[in-house]
Amino acid sequence: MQSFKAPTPEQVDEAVPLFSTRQREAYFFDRLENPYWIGPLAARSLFATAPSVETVEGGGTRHPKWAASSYLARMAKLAPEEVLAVLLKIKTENASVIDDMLVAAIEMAPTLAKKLVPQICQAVDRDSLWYGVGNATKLCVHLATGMENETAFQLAGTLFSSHRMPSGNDRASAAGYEYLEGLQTVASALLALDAKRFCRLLVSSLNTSIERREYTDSATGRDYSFVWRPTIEEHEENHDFEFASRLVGVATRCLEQGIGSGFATLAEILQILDEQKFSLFKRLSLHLIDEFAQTDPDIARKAIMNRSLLDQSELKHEYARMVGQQWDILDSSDQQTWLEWVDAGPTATKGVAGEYDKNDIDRAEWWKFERFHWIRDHLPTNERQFYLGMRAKHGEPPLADLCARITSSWGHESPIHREELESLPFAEVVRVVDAFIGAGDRDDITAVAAVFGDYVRVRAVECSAEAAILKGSVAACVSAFIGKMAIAVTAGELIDVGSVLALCKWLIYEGPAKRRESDESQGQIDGQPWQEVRNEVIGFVGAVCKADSDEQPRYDVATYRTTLWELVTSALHDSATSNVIRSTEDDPQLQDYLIFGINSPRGRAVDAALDYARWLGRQIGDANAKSLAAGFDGMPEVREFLDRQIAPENRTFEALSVIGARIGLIEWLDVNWLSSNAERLFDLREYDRSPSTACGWAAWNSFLVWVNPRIELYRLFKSQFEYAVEQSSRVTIQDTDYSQPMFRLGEHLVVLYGRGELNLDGHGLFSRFIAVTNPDIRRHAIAFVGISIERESDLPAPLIQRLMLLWESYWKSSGPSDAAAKPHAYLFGQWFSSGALPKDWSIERLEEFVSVVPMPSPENEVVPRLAKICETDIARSVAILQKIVDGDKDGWRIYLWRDSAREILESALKTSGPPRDAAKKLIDRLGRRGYLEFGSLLAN
Amino acid sequence: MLQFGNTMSHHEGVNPTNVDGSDSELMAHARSESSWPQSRIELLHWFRQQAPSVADAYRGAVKLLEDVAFPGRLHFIAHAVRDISDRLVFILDPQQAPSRVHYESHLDKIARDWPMGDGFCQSGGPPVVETYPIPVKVARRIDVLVGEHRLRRSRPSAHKILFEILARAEAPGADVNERIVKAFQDVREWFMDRAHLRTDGVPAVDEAELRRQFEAFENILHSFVGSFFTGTKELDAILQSANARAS
Repeated sequence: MQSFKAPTPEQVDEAVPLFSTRQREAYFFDRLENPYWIGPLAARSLFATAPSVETVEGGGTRHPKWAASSYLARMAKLAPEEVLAVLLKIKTENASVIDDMLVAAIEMAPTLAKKLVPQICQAVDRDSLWYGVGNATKLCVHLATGMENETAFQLAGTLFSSHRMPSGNDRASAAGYEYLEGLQTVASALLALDAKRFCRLLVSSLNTSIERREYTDSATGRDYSFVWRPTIEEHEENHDFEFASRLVGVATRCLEQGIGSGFATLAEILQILDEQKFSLFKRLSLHLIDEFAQTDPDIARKAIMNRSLLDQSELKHEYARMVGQQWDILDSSDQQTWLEWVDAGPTATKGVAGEYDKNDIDRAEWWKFERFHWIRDHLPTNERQFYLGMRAKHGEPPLADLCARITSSWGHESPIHREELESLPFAEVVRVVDAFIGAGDRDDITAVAAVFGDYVRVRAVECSAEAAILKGSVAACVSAFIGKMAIAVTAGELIDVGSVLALCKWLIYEGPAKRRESDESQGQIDGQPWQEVRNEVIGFVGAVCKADSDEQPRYDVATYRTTLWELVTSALHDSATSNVIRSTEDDPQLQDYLIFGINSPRGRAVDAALDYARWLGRQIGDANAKSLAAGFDGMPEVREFLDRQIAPENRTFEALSVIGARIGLIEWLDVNWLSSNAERLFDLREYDRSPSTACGWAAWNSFLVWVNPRIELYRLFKSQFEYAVEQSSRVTIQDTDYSQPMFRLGEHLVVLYGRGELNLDGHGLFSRFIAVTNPDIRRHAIAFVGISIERESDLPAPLIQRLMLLWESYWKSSGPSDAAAKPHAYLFGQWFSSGALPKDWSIERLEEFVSVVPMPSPENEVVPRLAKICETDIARSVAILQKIVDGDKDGWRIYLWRDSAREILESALKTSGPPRDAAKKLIDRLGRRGYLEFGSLLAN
Repeated sequence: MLQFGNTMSHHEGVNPTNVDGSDSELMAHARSESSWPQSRIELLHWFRQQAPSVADAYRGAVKLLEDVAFPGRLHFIAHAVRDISDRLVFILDPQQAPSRVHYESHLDKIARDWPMGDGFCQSGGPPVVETYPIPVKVARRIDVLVGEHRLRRSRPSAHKILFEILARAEAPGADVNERIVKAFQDVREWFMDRAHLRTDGVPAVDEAELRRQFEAFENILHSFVGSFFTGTKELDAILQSANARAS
């Protein structure tokens, strides 16, 4: 401090009026390094009023930085008493300022810093700390290291109070992370200061976290910690999703550190833990006894020889671990006594929680087996004999020292491994797998079926030839087999398709009659016997139909047509209920039902039928023709199937959605059928009579979403388009997902307009759409143009003209109100930034646009584009830039495009007259908003 | 010329711009006030654009500041500063009517019908009665006076409103710094004390103090209306001195 000079009153009086605005004040304080100014500035109230917390549009708050408090934080080391005197007078909820206070406090001696603790604790209690938590814990350590016992614990008590603790079930919140990190930060210092007091703090936190968990019984102390924290020590079984579990880990490490470093004795800590009611603390005690058994063997011995602990399931893991690890500290007499307890069996009644009871194994024997497992390396002869016998029979007891296993993975480990099957012939493999699946539980079935599938996949060709072996196999096996065969076909492997199809046919037509009753329960899906197998059969049919070789269908019509169609037909009457649950309350006009369709048995069958039709069509007609010459006359079975699916008594959302998505294919197959049946297929007006059964919207929406716009289809479905446009004016859009069908309606019309196939003549459907549709739909259609022309540098002139006309027409009508209603919508922003439209026209339109929406999204693309073309019209460009700068209500968005703004201003400063003056004015505005770097433009 | 719309209430429609105008205009001013610092030139230019009726008063005050020998200059400078301080807000936003309560006018009306008080209070002693009847029309006039007084007290001061208007050029959400309002009011008070002619003669002028107060008045306003970077240059000079190490 001595190296600086104190200012004179005159110097201070001269300076203070110069920083009458926040930005000038910030400019000054950010650069002031002289601590002698603290007193004079404080006397002139420069530190009296911190910036208030601001409410942000859309919710939330902002805590503006205050350069004055940052200055004080920097000066704290040089002039701690002066800084302290000022900070003690500041009353604020601003988290940024409080963080500066913390930084200052950490720089001061603890004897001074402690005086700020009451203020900081108040800020913590008012939730005004936010990101300052890290510094608050550092301050706590600082105080503890400086032996400021009371204030260190006062601050710790506030930081780790129940108020700041997330719920016990909390999963990975920032609050939980900060809390635990903070505890670990302060642990060493607070343990050294007063270990028992810190232990009580930890215990209090643990108690609160347990009490906040669901299912905790505070009256009895049952906390079920053996479920949410299976082991006290770090262990793979501990999945620390929950805050309470993570807290146990942190607390355990702190207590171990406290005892290990000699800050407290084991007995002192155990006394504190013994006062608590929850079983977690008993487990913690046992764990610590085990960890420090070598230091305090007598305590360990007493714990092991506590008969009541042998039966307490909630304490099982820690007790078992302790017995196993500390067996040698018992003398032979104690060891004998303990073995006799085990031999005598459990004293608890039947149904002891955590006991593993498998089939007809005697419960007591199993209990004994588990206990002997704990000390398996120390067993005397007789006990060892018993143990080894049980082990040979049952393998290692999975829950010997745990109450539950919660290790999860995406699958269940198969009891059969692929290596075991490698050397077996296929028939034997099938027999082994069948037998195991027949006797296993559901998890085993899935796992074994997966192993079998892997086996089949790498031997697809040879296994396919022996497909018949699977007649009579269990459903899981057959499903896996057929599924892998489909994959093999798709991968181009030349499997024996005939054999596999023969198996499929048997399964569908003969299998049900030949299955045993016990087989019916295998592979049930929603109560439908063997539905999964049927799904795989249909999937296989689809794969065969889609398989190509040299761009031609791989499998010929003559050989496979009949069988494939028989299989498809069998499934066309299957349930239309989808695996994906859908709400019947949703407006069918706004749903894309295809996801439900392809996840329903009927929908899959319809899809396979259309794959079949395509496969057939490519072989009986000219694949390159616009339409098949014979149409459905060449495949009457397909016509009959379509007629049936769209008949009123058979219509379903799921099936029709699949048909709608394949309109392009159907058009190619038989355009006359499509033309004649469009109204039957879609029947959109059913919505007026009965919305909940208006299935035709499923086909219509799939068509809109999944089929590209073409004028031919527009003409075929003109009346449907007309009706849909009228309906689009009545809907309410909640889901703004890009693939929303009504949005796609707009895209279809915009594309056709862009191609010159529709007009904006005031009479046509496109004009009607622009005039009447829901504003969200209209906004999307307009924005779609911008997205479509982005990065298109060479659009044809007629298209450019049409797009310009579209925008001008739109902006004269509903454009401004659309834009004002949703200023963040991408309307003209991407039109402009695309660079595809004439520069001068674009700038003029942008100027009009920013007069309504000062911040045109995405402005981080708009401003760079404006910078590129600003010399086309520099005056307008600066005016637009000013609007955009003024439109930044957040205060930071300029940061994203400041380089481009600089380019525009540089160009303007090279001119003379109004553009130059406007640029200077804008530079001033930017400076006032904290963007000081623009000042160098004036210097240049 | 005034540039503000006058159809909105309070000062919503007012948006004073900072120093504007072409370089040529500024150059013209600079030639005539060639010795003026840049910030003073900018302030005068802003007055000319936004509040022309005070521009000459300001310019005159500056000239008198330089003309130490001008008789009565303190009185004239003080008046100019006081009037600019008090009137600027109403010039920038004509919607802001002065919130003056005409106490004398109200009391004249009350006094006309006020009962001669000889029974309810003895001087130096406690009141002889708890309540005292007065005519209803007198009570109504008192009620009107108290209502206007309360309204005046509840409104922000004219100076605070002035800085709310001036702060609009700052970052969005910028609040009015009460310290600045108080500092401005303190400067205004200093000049107010010296604005009126006294019976005991002309007050002594501490020339340095006069200049300091006048520059404070200028610099507070310039912070808001002048070029931001002109101000930062001045701050740079102060910082250079402040951060210099003692030799």
